[in-house]
Amino acid sequence: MKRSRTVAALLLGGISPILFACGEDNPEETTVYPSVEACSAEMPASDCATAFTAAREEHRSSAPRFASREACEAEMGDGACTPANEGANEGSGSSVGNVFVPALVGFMIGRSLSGGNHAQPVYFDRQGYARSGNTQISQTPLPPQRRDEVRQGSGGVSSSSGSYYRPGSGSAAKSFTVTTSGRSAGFGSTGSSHGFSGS
Amino acid sequence: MERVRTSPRPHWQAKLEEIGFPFHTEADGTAYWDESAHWRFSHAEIETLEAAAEEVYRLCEEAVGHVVTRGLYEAVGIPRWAAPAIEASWAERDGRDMALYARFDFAWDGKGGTPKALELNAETPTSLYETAVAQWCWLQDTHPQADQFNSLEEALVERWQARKQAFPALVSQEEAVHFACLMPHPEDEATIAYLQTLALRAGMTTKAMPIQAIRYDDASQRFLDDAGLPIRHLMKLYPWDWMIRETTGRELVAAAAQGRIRMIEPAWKMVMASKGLFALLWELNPGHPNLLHTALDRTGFPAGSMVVAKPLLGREGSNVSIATLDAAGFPVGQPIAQTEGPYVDEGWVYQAFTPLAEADGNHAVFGVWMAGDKACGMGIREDRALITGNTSRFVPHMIAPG
Repeated sequence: MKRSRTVAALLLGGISPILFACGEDNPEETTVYPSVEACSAEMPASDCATAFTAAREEHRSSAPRFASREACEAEMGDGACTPANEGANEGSGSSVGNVFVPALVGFMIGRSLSGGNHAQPVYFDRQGYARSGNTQISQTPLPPQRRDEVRQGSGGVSSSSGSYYRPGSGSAAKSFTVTTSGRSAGFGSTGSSHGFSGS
Repeated sequence: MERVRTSPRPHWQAKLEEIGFPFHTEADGTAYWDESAHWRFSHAEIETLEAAAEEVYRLCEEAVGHVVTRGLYEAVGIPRWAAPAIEASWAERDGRDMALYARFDFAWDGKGGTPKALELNAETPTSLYETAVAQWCWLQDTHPQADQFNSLEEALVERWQARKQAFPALVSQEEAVHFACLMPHPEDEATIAYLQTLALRAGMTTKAMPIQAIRYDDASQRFLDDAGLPIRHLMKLYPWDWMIRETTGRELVAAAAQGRIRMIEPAWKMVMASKGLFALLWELNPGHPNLLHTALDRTGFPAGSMVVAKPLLGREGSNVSIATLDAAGFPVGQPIAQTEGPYVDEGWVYQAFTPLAEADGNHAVFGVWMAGDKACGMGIREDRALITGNTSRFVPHMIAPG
């Protein structure tokens, strides 16, 4: 009957732990940070830097890839994409040409029982879907209304890290419009008048 | 079972806010989350509640089947034209239109009788986060060695995983699950975000949006999200019986009937969520130890019975009254308790009164949570009044060690 110890907490007050462990022992805990600075406010800066590096590696190896900036931005949002090789290590020898990936908007840190950290890159796509690369674990569910704040937050460190999303840094004159066809479905009108809150 | 008074944790408000639950206090300053007491159960008592919930849920499924196969929609307050969606989803209830969750309200004083199911909130059950997270954190802080009837979170992740397996396009992440509720509405948005978190943990792509922003495209016969993308799977924290009466309600019925949109909860939950179902339950299982005499007609109760009248499609304890009936089914004198509310149009259901667990003038309803057909947790609501409503306090519980 007793359940496992980790429960998922909500992201209501900004960027906060999304997997929250109660009580004394914290077997597993995952937090999403928009920047190394935000992370350093809560844990040792060296851990943050390590986690960021790991997330960036994961990002490089597994970020969704697109054949052009246009294709990437069409899916991930205006200005949300960067060339895949930007910021790559000089000696890596990889030259991937015109491949574009979504920029990181943050990273998540999980602490495992063994004491090691595992880090995951975090992205948002154009429509506000939360994703974490192509991996199935540790996807973050930021409510859509939070994603702009996160992007702004991460934009703040872009100049130092060089690989975060930079607002307005996308190629110029790129406008992608989503066609909002159809009409309002009209859902919600009954509840708005009743002040619905479940049963 | 017993109600144990305890000192709240120091800084309990901050602790709740820390875990994403700022709704601990009502607008008027009274507590909604109340840890000045908790309820303590024996293992045997929990097992009794668990077994009762699974048994009554099985009966509820049978009753839904009875409604569907005989077309008894009027009896449960549902318009006949909604039947295609209900019937199509009922046929796939073990697969692509599986249930996610529900919450029973049980009355039980633990004094030798059996738990009695008052109702089943089968579509938009409230107090999910309080049950799954807030009271679990309370237990870890205050009684880390003790147990709690609470595997709700794990059970819901499993339900999302099961749903995902029914749809290859969810596995491949070609399709997403949309989560919609009224916005702005901080409590519902928090619940939606929590459900979304659990679906993400099951490996699905998700998106939250205001239910008011859903669009319908007549040309393609598709429901669209606020970015113009088709909605294939829609978790809505909003009742079916309202949606079908809104602008594109008939389009929704048609889309669900043809499987063009998969709804969570599925349309058959509309039947299960009707309080009229409990009248049918009694008719099909008269005298069942976990059921109360319930009827759509108040003339069948013995003279002098104390009876609770509830709206067929009511919520949050609104428009409920408790009175003694005479032989003709008319109330004798004034009701002993009564609540106001907006639900006066769709008919009534009458249920024999049974006492709730009571201590120090507090009346407690035991909310047993179901994930699919498995009981997986409990949340308790308390009130000084006899009728539990949306401001009734949430009080944590534990299972006594040993």
